[in-house]
Amino acid sequence: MKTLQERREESKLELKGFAVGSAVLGAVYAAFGVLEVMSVAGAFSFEPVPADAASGLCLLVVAATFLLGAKELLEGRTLGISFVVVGVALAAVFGLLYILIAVAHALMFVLGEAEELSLLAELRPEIWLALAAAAMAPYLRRALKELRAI
Amino acid sequence: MEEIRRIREELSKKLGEDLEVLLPARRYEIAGEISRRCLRRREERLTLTDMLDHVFLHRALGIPIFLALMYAVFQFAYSVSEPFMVMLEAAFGWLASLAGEAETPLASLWADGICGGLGFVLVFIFPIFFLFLALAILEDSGYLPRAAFVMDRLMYRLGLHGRSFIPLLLGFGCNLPAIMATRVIDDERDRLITILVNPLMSCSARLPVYVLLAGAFFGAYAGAAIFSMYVLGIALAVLMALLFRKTIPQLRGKPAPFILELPPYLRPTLRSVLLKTWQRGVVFLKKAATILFAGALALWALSSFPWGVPLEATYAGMLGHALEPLLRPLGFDWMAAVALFFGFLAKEIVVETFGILYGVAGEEEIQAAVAAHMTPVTAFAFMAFTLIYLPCLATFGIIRAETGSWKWTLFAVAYELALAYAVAATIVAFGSIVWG
Amino acid sequence: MIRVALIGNPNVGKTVIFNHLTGARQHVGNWPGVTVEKKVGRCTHRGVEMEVVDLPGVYSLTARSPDELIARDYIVEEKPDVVVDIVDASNLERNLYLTLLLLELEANVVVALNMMDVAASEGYEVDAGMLSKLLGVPVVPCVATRGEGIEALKDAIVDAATHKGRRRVAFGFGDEIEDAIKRVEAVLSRSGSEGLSRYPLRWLAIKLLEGDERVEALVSKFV
Repeated sequence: MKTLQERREESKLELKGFAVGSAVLGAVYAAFGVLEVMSVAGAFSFEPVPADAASGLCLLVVAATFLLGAKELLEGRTLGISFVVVGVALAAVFGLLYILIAVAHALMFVLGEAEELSLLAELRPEIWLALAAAAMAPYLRRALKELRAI
Repeated sequence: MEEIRRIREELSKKLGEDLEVLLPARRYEIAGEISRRCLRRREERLTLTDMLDHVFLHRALGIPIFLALMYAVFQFAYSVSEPFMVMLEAAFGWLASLAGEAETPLASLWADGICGGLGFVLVFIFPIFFLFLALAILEDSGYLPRAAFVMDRLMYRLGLHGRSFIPLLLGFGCNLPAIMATRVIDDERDRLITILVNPLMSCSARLPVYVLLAGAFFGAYAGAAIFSMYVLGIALAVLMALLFRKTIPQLRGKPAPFILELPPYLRPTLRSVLLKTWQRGVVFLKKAATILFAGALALWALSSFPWGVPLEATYAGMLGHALEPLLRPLGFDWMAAVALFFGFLAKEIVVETFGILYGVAGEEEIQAAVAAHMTPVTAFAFMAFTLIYLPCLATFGIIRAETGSWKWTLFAVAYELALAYAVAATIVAFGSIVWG
Repeated sequence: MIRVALIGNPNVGKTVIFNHLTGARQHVGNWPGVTVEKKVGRCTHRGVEMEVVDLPGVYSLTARSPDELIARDYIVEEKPDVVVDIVDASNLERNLYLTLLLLELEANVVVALNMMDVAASEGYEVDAGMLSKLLGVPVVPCVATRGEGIEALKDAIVDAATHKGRRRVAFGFGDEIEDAIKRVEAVLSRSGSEGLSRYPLRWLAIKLLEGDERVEALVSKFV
């Protein structure tokens, strides 16, 4: 049985862990968000990164969520973990969205409506970034259980 | 027994309430009192709902998250429905071809009127279905009241009333129940403004127009183009509400403060989501079976008779050419004019009309045909025009019913026409400056 | 042998508790004249043999619903030795409504305060001792799904059956209503009817004031 003191220290450590993870994810999302927007302006071109301003902005929103979370957690406020939860949720939403779109594109190709199907283009950053974010999910779940939020 | 009844009536009169109701009520009070004295909160504890609200209602992040989620919803509805639309379109194409090469009115009615018109618009059940599916998930999760709260907060800061975004949000499905939902707004002025502004919230009937044009012109950005229509609608709704409050005398005054109840977040169940989606999708199918079907027949008749005459000389053509001068500055041709004209009955008819007119004219690929008659800029302007220009017949009726006045109903039509024209003109002007 | 009735709101764990008490010694039938299931079982504790009847899950005891009538009639006519009211600790206020009705019926109530774990997970603690004091009846905390509190419940049932003391009525409806109740009670006892004496007087009076159809019909026969 852990003492209350031990429990408090443990949770502080965990918070730091989430803060770092969140900051890293936030930075990566921000980077890709900027890249996607820049691709539209023609300043950047790389096949795996689609030129999609709207989607880029969405990535920036996810980035902002993670970064805000990191900031609050570093300030020591447990509530900051909410941002991480929402960040992962948003990441999952967009990841799932683009997986479904990839499937739809594949169907279109099979139906003969699309000219080509580029696997590289379909596996957008949103998808594998979501997988990266999802790595945090089991830790988040455990942390939330400890906080008795779920 | 008589005496007992007398005692009862006396007591009831003295306390001013039906005893059948009063006694149970007193019991509840006692139960409440007892439970209050026996319950103790263990510790102040974070609930998942509070945690999520910390983010979703955040002063800075709340609205961007809302917009991002909405974008995901529309991107989903558009992209994932594409393959299904293609398949259904092919099916209708095959059905139409059953009429063979015959040039008789009956064959044309089947191929161009029914398959080409009604069939063409039925294809759009898929984006509508997927849109409703996504919205149902958001609704069941408990997120939508947060979106409403965040938007209301913004509107409140702009000097508008709170508590009106939820009825507006309902307008994404259909403006009719959304306008009826304004009954929850106490202040008559607030309510009137919300009703006037409601038709600017893009309803599902306008989605086929967006999908058709965005798909034809904007390629990979189709989802974003459609999304922009919804955002445009929201922005105009907020702006017009602001404008009305500041200028129209009857509507001046301080906005009422709002208290919104936020239900806890829940995991959406598959059954409930599918049920909601089905219920709303069925409305479209019912519309198709009735007003869209009738509209298809009427339109086909107008565009086929006098028989044998080139399309421009039929009744529909004559109507279109009569209206065309009004819309030429916006880059719309006579066919677009006819489509918009009949769109008053139901906005889906706009797409149906294109299907019939181009079909009668002998076009196979409707989308390509429409594309040939417009430029990307005019297409975008057309989408905006469809968004704004009129409430449909049903909405017209409900505005009249809920406001109880012809004055406001006609005002709604008038301002929307004017606004539609102004916005479309601005888009065209801007477009020609930037792209020539 | 003592007769025990189990009652409570729907979904409070009544079936779980019934199973804990009776184990394999139960059989299912029907309440006479209706298609509602009637479960009866047996239990032996500290040498005392109990017959346990599972009444339908109800929120109230009006004459309106067949389930409620079945429950009410059983308690009023059959007069079980103990009525175990199973209360959901995480929904206290709503569940106590039924408890109050049972006390009006002057049943010999033992409260099984179940789902203590759910209440705890929602951050609440229920003071069973205070509840017992306020209601004037024994209150046994349980977590039926984990089998906690069942032995204590059995003890309480046996004790209640053997010590059927009359509790004080700890709460009233307020002066005007109490006045009217007393007057109706007077009318009823003046009629001196034998048929009515088997029912609790106060309960009859309250029901008549509420306009309960069944009680009105019953009383009209005798008054």
